[in-house]
Amino acid sequence: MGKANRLRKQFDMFDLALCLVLGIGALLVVYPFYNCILISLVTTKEYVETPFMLIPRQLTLNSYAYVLNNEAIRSGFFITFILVVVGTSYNMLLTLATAYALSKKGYPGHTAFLNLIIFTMYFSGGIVPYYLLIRNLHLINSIYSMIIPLGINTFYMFIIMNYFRSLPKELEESACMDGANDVLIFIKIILPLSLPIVATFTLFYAVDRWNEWWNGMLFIKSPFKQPLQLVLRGIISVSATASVSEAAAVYYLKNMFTDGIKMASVVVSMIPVMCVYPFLQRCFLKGILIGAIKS
Amino acid sequence: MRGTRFLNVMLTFIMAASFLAGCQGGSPAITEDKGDEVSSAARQQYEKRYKYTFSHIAAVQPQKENALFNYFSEKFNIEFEIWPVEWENWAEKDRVWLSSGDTPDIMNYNFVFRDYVKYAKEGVVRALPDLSSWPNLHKIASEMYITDKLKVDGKLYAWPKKLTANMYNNLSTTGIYYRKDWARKLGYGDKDTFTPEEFLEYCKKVVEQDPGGFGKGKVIAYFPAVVNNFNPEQLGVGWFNPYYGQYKKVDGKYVWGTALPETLEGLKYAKRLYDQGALFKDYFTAKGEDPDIMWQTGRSAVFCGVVQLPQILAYCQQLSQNVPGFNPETDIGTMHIVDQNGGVAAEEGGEIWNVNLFKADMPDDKMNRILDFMDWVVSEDGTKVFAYGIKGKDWEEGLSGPVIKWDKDERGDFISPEYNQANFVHIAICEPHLFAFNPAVKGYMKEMYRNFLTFKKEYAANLRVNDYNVQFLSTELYGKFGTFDTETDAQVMKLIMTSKNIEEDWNNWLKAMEPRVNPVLDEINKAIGDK
Repeated sequence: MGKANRLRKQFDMFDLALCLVLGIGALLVVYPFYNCILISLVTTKEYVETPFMLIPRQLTLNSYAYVLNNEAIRSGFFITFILVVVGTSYNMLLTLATAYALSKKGYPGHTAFLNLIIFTMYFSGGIVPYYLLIRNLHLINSIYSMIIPLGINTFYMFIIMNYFRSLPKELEESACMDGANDVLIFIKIILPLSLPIVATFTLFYAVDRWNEWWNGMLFIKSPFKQPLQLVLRGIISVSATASVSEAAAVYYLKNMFTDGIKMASVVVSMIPVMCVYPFLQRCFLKGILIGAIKS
Repeated sequence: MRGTRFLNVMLTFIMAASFLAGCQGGSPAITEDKGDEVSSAARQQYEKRYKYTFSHIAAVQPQKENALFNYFSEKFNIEFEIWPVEWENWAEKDRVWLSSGDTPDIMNYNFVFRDYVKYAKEGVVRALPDLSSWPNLHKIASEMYITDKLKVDGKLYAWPKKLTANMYNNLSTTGIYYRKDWARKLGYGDKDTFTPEEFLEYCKKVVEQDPGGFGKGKVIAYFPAVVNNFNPEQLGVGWFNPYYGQYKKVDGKYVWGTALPETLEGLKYAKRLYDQGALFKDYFTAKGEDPDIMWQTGRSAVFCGVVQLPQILAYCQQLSQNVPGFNPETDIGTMHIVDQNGGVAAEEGGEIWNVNLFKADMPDDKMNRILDFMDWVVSEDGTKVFAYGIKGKDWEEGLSGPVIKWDKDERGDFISPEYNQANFVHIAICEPHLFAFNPAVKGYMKEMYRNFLTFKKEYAANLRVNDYNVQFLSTELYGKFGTFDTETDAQVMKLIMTSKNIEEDWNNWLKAMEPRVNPVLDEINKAIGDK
């Protein structure tokens, strides 16, 4: 009885109202996502007849069959996988090393380097000089054109740099007294303490690499080297011109539902990220639970 | 220890992945130049094999087993590597490639005359040779007015890809489809010419009486196509003033067509269409394929789009599938909006839509080979191959014409082979009208197409002619601002949806635009007025 009273006191009308509001907010967020999946699974006729779908009458996998049977999709998945694995590792290596170096003060050129990096956040050379640079490096139509130029996101680097600065200096001093050099301190002491932020920005970089399309659009000529997002854009772009183009009108003649193709493309590109994300969440929690040194 | 082992495994994995990236090969369907490895058939005429990089809008890379690609690849001893270009990035890619000099061998160029002249003069693209050695190409080029306009210092630097708006005349093919079965239910019989007022009344009747039985508020009367952006011409503005969004020559001087009084009449009419429910209320928020989807699933009564054979075929097939009891021979038709004298507003189709540019350092023999291919594409033999497929495999020459050997679907309609032929046809010509040869296109469809275009030509009363003097103007302000169509369309949309006094609001907006439009007009008139 006492427990029931305590529960009643803990859960009052205010909590009920809060639950209702948050529940409605959650539905508003979840329904478009659910609708996207539904559109990818229905025919044109059903989509038109029931714009607000909850449970479709008839399901079809035609849109997924079209998207996944496309040869370029399969190569797109492979290319994007390479970009995520190699690109993210490359990004984290450069970002962490640069952030650690810049977190130290007092050495010659520190301010100049920092200012040069800040300058690049606001100004760039433009598309044509960028293209010429990549061409002169013989990276045109190479997968490395989507990896090497995108070494560091300066915004992420600054956040990590500030995090490193917040770590107690005593840790490094004591390690230094024990004979450790900078590299050893970075790998053995700084990185283990920075797992939460490393995991966070690994995820950010991985999502950026997964969504990569612009560099691919600019530098990749071969359709079988295009990243997944660019391939999907191409599929959507062609299907959208069916009403005015003789070549694209075959989409109608094949009874393809162009909105279904779009949504199937969205789901295909989204699912791998959603599968990986829960595993990285565990890193966040584990990092938080690591004991801190009291100074 | 465990952490180190994990780190070692991850590092190994990453290294392996980066090796894979470095070893990643190219397209499995395309091989590199094989100077000595030629087919026996091609050896007789074409000794050296050439590979061409070819950029084209919305192109699809040939699949591995493409018989048509293999056929002409062997015939001319050539192969292609397609650089795909999408609508959103076409202009940007063109600019980057041309500015950096890294163009494909054949570039499908999103034509901007002023920039084209600059590229030609800078030597970024190569000139075509004298085309008299290629009779079919020569014939096409000499029949087009704009071929001479494309010459820079006497040389032709772009291959003008002939558009040929339709097979019967030079008018554009924008037109209106409508459900004839619903019109008959509403007492209109087979009427297919409507004045604007009659059209408005018809749409209102569709909404009120719901001939499709969808329920109150669910039937759509008029839902015109939206491709990339909305088009006021399809809302009736173009019926009153076909020079909307263009410059018009009046008494030897150019004026801004948008500012003509007829535009306001069209605007008022468009507003009535919207306010009285004739125009679908969600038209202005529709995405690209929404109108097509509503039309093809039988939800809308009237649809404004392109009247070409592939679209007619697609709509007849889709409506037959989606609407129970639909008879495509009698239940779908095209209508004309006529003035009080029975005349229709019409516009000339352009001679070209885009052009092909050729890489500056392409050797002469490589250039000649691709011209041989292009000449064959537009020849009678080439047209038959692209239309019907491989002779012997897909068709045979019969006594009274080709005998088609295509597969048939469950309805007994022919299924055309998937050869992606449109890609390579577009090296030579923009609109090949291959569907005229497609056996799936039935006689009543061809009749619908022919009747629509011949009526339009015969009764064209308010004809917008192509003024290539303006289109090929390379002055500064015109090159920068064009016809102000983006701002105009946005203003039209805003007024139709929200204006309480459209005449006043429109006139105020025209007045506000004068300081921007008048300098452009002055520049145009100075350059080509009274010519």
